[in-house]
Amino acid sequence: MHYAVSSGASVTLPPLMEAKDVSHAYGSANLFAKGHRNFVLENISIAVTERQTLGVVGESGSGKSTLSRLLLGLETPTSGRVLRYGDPMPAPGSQAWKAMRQKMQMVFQNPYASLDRRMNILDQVAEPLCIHALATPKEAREQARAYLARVSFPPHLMGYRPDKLSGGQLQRVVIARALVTQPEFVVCDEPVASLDVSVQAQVLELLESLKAELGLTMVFVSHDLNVVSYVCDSIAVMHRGRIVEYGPAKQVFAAPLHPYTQLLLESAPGSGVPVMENKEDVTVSMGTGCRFQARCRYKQPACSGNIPPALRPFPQKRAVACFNPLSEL
Amino acid sequence: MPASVLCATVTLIFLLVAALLADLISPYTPEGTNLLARLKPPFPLAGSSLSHFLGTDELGRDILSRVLYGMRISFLIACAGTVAGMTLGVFLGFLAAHKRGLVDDAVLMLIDFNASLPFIIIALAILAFFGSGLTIIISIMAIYGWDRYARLSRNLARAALTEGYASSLQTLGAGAPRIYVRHIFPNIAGMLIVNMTLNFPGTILLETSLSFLGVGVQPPMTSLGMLLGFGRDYLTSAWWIAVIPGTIIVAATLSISLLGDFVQNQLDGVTQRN
Amino acid sequence: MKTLCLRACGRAAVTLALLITCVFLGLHLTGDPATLILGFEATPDDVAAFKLARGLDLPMYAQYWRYLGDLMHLDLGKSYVTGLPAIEVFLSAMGPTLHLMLPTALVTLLIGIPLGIVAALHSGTRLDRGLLFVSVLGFAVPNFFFGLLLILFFSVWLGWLPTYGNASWLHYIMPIMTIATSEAAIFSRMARSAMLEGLNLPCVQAAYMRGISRQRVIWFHAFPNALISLLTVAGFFLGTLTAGAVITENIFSWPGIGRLLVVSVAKRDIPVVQLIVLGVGCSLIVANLLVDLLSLVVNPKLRRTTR
Repeated sequence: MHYAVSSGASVTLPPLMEAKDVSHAYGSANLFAKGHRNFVLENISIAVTERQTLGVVGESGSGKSTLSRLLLGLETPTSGRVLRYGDPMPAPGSQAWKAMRQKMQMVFQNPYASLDRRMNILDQVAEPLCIHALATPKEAREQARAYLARVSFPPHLMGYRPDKLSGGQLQRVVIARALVTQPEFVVCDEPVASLDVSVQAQVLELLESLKAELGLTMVFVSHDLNVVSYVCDSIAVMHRGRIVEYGPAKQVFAAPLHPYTQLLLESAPGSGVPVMENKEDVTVSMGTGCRFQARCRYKQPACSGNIPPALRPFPQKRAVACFNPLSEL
Repeated sequence: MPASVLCATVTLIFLLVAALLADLISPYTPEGTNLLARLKPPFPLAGSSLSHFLGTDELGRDILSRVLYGMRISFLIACAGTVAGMTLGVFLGFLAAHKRGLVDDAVLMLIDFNASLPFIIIALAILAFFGSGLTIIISIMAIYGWDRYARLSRNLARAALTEGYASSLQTLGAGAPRIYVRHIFPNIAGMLIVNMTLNFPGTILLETSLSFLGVGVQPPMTSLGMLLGFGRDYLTSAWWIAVIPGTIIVAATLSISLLGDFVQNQLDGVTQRN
Repeated sequence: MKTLCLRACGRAAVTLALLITCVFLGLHLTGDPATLILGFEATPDDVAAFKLARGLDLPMYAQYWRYLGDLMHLDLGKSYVTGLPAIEVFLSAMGPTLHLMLPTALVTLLIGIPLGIVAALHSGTRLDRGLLFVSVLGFAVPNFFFGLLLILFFSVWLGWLPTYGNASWLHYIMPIMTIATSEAAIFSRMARSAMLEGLNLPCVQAAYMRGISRQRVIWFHAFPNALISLLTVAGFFLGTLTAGAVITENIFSWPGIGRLLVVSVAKRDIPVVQLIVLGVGCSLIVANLLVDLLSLVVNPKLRRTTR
């Protein structure tokens, strides 16, 4: 049994979202070539309690986006279970699934791509209300206007199409569209990665204030530890389909336990250290010792053994998957 | 806008208006025979008269009137066929993009199949099996063009579904009809229209070819190709019966081709700039 | 390499199977073959006997199986019109069509490739644009109209060339011109882009750098590469050539497959039509397969790019 990490206090209620021993593979569904399945997630167990924000950090290919899609119920994991308030998720496309969509929303990385170029801003923000038949078109526009005002979107631009607006303005639109159905759970997938640095802080501040005001539960996916530690209560660091470190945001940021976390912190923009290129194969192979050994500067003989290090608990509600965590060195 | 494109646009508008107003502007009925005025040459030639501006055929029917009505039928078939082909192609393309897997493979296989034989042979086989008629001919035109629309709409829909606005709509809980009809279709309409203009000349040529061969449009209807086919028998005595409808076919296809290329280049420029 | 060849064969087999199935379904949707063949005055007993003899009372899949068996034995029924076996009618028309298509293909290549090379070597100049316009014109003038204009000019006004049939070599001139003009119009564009591609290859550019003369680079480095990439459009070329032949044979009353096809369609001589569709379809599918395999052999690029 894997150690389940949980953000927040130990409460008797089941957490809002929980992944239990989840693995996921994308197989090539080709008629002629039966390709082998590539596991992008392996034995992930994690929980998000209400009104908490969990940060998921990792390089591209670490499986963080797949994990967020599974938590949203957009896909069904190959094995393991995803639970919402302790109940299994409905199958994608089913009636219950469609009804659930208004309670779970997503803010995308690229606001240009996630908005329809041929529809004006107001109608796009109002659309989720129409999809779920929560309001008449006229009421939907009213509510959309209110939410756009809440994210400080300039009112005189509401009739424009997306190509007339800046990235920061568009990301505000995407946030308003995600919140207009009053969801309880929001996944932000690299919400500021495509924005100018000057705009990033504004959008992060907006998310921070919305979170407190609306009592949102959030998962915040990013490759940038600085951004995550600013917004999140707890952090899960992912590397090649696994969680390698977990803990409260402040502690992880201040004193990382896993060499990979340390590397991420050092190579973060602004730290002066060049970003280290990820030369590893992004697809995960089974049972060849620690997956980080090729880049690890503390590598020891045990690391290339047969068994990869398991995620084991650490004081202060932390956990790490490493044979020689940094604090013990 | 280059002069050639301007010229093409003017020609096209002129032909379309003439075809639309065939009832009003044609001086005679297309079937009205006049045995006293048989095989009259077109206007500036010796023996011609202004009353039959483009001359008459072997039964004394006014060629101008016949060409106007023939144009109307030819354009009508090409338009209806193009729209039907687009509808069919876009539907199958969206279906392939939505269902993926086996459905996708099947649609791709059909597209390949459509391209593997010269279409005129498929068209002739359909005419042999099902007989001729306006519905059959329009269906043939639809089958002629569907594969390009299907490929285009499949690829664009897939792109939108994997990492674009359509995938974000799925996350919002939107159903398939809303995503395809309200969002993807308006977004790809521009490219579909360009494809239509590129496909249109081929469609007109296909219909006129079949009618020329005598297996397309049947009398009492007239089409440009049929007029040309009948004119073949009078080449020695009255060349204009064949040459006039032929010239109009060339003018129409050439100007649509030029216009289509121009629009496509413009659109490519726009997408590159973005 | 082996998998790529197998994949090409597989695709050809699937296309062939689809073709046969479509023809079979087409035959079944034509209506009642009994009345079509026996005529409306046939008695119910005649019809029943006919159905029994042809296996038309069997379920669909059994009929399909039987149909495949007939195809294997080339037993494709008799022409409704002449009463001769359809296969004989088909084979007798095959000769004239091949006699027309071979020289036409040659003329097309002899016109199209030089024009394409000239356009590529002068790309962007007035000459290139002029050639582009000529090719657009050549494509926009349909075969059937161009053929009539040729008849009008060379036969009616000048009286030089015969118009109907295939009796002497003089008869070949206008049909070949008709098809080759429109074919060369398309083919020269393809040759142009193939040549441009060849000229821009890194190895060809490198040959320039090494100081090899321009003439030598063009003919010994760029041109062979252009020919290899032209091979990939050979299948398409064959298809348009066939389509051109269908129309042109009808303009000049050429006693070939195209003429036979249109006459049979007009008379709804189903056995002959289905045989032509299957015969022409098979030939093209096999020809395309051979072109694909040959391309794989001579064009290493294809072997690398596709998985």
